[in-house]
Amino acid sequence: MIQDSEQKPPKGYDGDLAISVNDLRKTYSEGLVFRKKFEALKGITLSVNRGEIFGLLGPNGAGKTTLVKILLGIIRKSGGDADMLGLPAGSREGRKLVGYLPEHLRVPQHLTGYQALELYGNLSNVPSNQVRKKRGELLELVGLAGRAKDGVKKYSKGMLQRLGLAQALLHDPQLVVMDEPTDGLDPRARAEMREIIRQLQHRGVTVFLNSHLLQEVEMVCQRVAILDKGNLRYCGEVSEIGQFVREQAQSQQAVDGIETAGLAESDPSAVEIRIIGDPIKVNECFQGLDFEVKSKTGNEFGVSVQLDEQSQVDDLIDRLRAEKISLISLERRRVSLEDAFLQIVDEQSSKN
Amino acid sequence: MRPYLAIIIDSFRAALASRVLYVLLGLITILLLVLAPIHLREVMDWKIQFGEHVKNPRLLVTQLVEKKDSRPDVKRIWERLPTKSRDGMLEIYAKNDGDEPKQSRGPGNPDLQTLLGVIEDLNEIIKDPTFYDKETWKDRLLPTEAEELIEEGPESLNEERSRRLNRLLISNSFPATIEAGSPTAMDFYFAVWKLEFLSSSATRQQFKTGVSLVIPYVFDKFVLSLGLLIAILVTANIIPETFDPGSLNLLLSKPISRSALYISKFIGGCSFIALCAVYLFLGVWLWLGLGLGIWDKAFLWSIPLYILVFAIYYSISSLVGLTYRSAIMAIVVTGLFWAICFGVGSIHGFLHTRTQNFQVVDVTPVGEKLVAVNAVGSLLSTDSIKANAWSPGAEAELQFEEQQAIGVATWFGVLMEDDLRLSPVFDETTNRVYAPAFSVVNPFGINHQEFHVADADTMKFKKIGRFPRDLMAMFETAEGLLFVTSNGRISNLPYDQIPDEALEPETKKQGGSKKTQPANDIETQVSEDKETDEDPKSQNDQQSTKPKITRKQKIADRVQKLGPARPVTVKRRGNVDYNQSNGEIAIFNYRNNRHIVHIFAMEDGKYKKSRSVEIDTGATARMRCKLAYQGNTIIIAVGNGQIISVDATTMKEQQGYLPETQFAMQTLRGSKNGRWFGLLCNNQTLWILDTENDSSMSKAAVGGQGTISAFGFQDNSLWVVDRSDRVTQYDPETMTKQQTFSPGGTVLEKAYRYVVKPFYTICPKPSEFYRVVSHLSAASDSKYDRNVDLTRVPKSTDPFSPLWSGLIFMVAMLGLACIVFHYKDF
Repeated sequence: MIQDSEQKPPKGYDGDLAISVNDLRKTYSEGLVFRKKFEALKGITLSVNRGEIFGLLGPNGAGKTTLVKILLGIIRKSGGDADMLGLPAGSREGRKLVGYLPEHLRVPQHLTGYQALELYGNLSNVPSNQVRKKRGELLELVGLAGRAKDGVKKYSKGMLQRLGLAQALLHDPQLVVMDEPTDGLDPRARAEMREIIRQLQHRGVTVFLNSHLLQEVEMVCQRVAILDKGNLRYCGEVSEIGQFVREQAQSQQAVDGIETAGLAESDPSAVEIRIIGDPIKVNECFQGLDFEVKSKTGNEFGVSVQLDEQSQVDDLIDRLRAEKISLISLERRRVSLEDAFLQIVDEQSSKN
Repeated sequence: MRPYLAIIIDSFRAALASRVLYVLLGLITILLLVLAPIHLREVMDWKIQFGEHVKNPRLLVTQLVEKKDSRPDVKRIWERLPTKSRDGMLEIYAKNDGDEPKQSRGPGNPDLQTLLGVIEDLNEIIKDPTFYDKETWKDRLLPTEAEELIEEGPESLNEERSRRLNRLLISNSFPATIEAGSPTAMDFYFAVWKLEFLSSSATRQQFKTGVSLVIPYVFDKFVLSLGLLIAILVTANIIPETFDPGSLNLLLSKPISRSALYISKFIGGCSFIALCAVYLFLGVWLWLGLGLGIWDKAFLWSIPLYILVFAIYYSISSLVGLTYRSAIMAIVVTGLFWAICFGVGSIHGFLHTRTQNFQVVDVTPVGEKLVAVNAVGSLLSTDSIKANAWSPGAEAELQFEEQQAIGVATWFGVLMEDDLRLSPVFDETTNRVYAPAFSVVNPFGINHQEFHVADADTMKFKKIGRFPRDLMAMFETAEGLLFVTSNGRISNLPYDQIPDEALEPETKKQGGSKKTQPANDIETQVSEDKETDEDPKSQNDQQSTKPKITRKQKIADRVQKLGPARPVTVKRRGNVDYNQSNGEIAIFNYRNNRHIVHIFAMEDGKYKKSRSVEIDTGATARMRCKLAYQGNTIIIAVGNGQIISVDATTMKEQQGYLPETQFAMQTLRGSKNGRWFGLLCNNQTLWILDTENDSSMSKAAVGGQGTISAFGFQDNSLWVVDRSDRVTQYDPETMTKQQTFSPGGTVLEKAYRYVVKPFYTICPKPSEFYRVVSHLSAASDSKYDRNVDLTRVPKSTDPFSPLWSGLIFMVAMLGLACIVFHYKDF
């Protein structure tokens, strides 16, 4: 079990937890006579701080939706604890403070945008006059201002998502849970959605994002959790996931004594350099360094070199320029969330 | 509350947005447009119609011809008839030569045209506004309606009223031949066209009552069955659609209770049918009011009631929709459920009729044993009360085909009318039981009752003959069996004259005792007396029994004729009672619009009318009545629900009152000491009057009220039959239970009582909801009408039972759905 590592509270954190899950378990049973059991969550422990944007990641069937449903009281947990904003998850009081944008939202076809907002607002116990006061601003925020009088059956998927987001915000929730909010949206709409999410954070709203679009998550989230087959694989800062992956790889290497090609590639201390110059002089410049020539075309070389410190990079550039070697590009390798996600998930599947 | 109201409002929005709703509303509009032009005009009825008002035109001709010179009113009519008509009538009269005119309606009759012509000519006379002449009618006693019209001044009357007056005058001249008919008639119109086939001579009130009964039934069976089917089809997807993951997850994440969400959604689903029902029933109600002049507020109860009918089905549809989230499943299961309800209802109806036939409707205690008669008229007896089982009293004696006929009758529900049955009697001095049993072999002889006798020790009944058809009552006296026939003749059959061979051991039967048929002897004796019969029906009966008279003359002197010289007709079997303490006989009689009680007392070995009193029943119409005379009290239960008690000595009405509930009376009996009187009502409740302590009749403090089918007094005990055939003995003084005879019943009865009936009780009965509307309609129509004979109103079980069972069922289904919804993971 991987525990929630290094809890670095984000800026403005007041010490409270928005979501706290401890050894949460859920087992589904099917069939009346010969009951089949399926363990969807196998003891999850994580926490989400107030005011942060938190991403929940995982492949299909990892248990993400199950976790969200337990938090919102749509299904019941089988064991463990889950609290939301200091209240038991699923409690009616807790649900009053949460806005939810479900995946594949279906709005009754006979409603207009305004009517849908009124209905969902009323369901969150917001009086109709309050809904009318707020809807202008919210529709402006989600970018649906001009189309709210139209029937929802004329809405595109993106517009439905915007409407869903607007209804989730009607009752000024402290926590917004979004299930695949950018799924099916065009690039511009995704950008807008990211902007809205950031704005929410500025207002002090905690955003819990459940998504499998890793680039989206990487762009907006401070912290992420990765679920796989009901287990929590990682929970921590997005920026630290590379370090985590490397440490994981090293510890694995120490245990197995085998170098994994994938892990070397994703080593954050490697620097990729493309240069043009005399091969002998190039060789001289790299003397004493841990390097590997990746490509050679005439006098153009692609070299990967281990340089932990930035001063070492500067020294190398000085040496290359002194030898009149031309520098085409230089890039320090960085582990993307997608790389880390795939490695974490793949590592587990290869172990299994 | 806000979230739940929002759901209901949203359902209304959904309904209003549904195209199917508009199709349905369109269909309802078409129906209302068809109905709207149909309207009704109440007109004064003046036309004489052959068949309806004149049943015997020949008699009319005879009266016209014979009285044209002696009576000024008839003369005036005669003079105004055209010559052709007068000649025709004289011709017909001459042909008949003053003989008893015979009814003639045959198409081949050459006189028919003349007779019809006379009626047409009379109708022409009616149209003449100058027909009334004060001088001509000054000696005639005219009906109130005519008097009022004359007072207004015959010249000033409009055409319609003038014709009505003339019509009344003509009917008055021939009261027995031309019926006055009802004062008004109903003419139906479709826009400007008169609908002849619908027009009737019913009064507005009669018409209103009829419509109030018929309209809910018609709507229930036709319009709503179709509407319900459509509504279920249309609404079946509401719940599955709501509980689609895309919308359900969002709903469940809202701070609302799941059960309340489900109930709100359910109520919202009913909005669809609510809109249709409001439009349909309000429309029909307006049509009834504006078009037919019937403003029946109770009809508007149809709206909530039929929403409830829908809700019952919808509760099933929703539960299935919730569980399987499939509209198709919801429709299929709802359809199956309807079929089950229908099946249970049919099985219940079938078995109910059958078990009703086994219901004991008469019980007579015979020492420590019981003799009973069930609803099909079969005799039952017990060897001992402790035996807890009935044994067939006389059926063992029946021939095979008779047993078969009884079997058929019990399956198809040929119930004997209460008034047709004689009660078994037990004579202690001879220790014998004398009991009637029906012969069901011959459907035309169904009125006949076989005369059975049994020794009280063995309780083996032997058929010794047949009671005459016109025998109205049989009582045990010290001297013998006292018979009262329909023509009011009283006779006594001494116990020693009753054939003994019937009581011989069974070996005698093989010797051909059946062939002797001593039965006819008794029948002969009683029937012989008929002479001054006032009832033409019993005249026919007499003719039909005549051929048997000649057979056994030798037993003629077995029966002692006890008079009276001037008898009074006994119309029904409950109209006569024999006072065990003083031997007097009381007979209730209806004649010339008067309800009279006559008391006959023994004088010089013959019964003679001693005194009589006219009873003020408050009713102008003829009422069925029951009478009991014991001790010094005569109790009369009138068909309109009144109970009247009369002091037998002074013949003064002591008091008249209504029981708390107005139900038709079924059986009225007094205890021999005259202290207690019991009244069994049609709703199977027993009411007791204690003449020593109580001033009014009160509901007896006995078990099984509501299922009581018979009761009887014996010395100082009250015997009550409830739950079809359980007999309990009570002390009437304290109403404490003394002993109970509780037979288990047949397998079928048990199956009915313990399986079918409970199932039927909890099953909703959607097809019976018209009963509730009809009942509400009737209840709001008239609280109590003295002129309504409740015994003629069809027996109805609790009219609200469909309502309660439906509501309970629906609540149970909703509760179940809430539990499922509450615990289900979505």
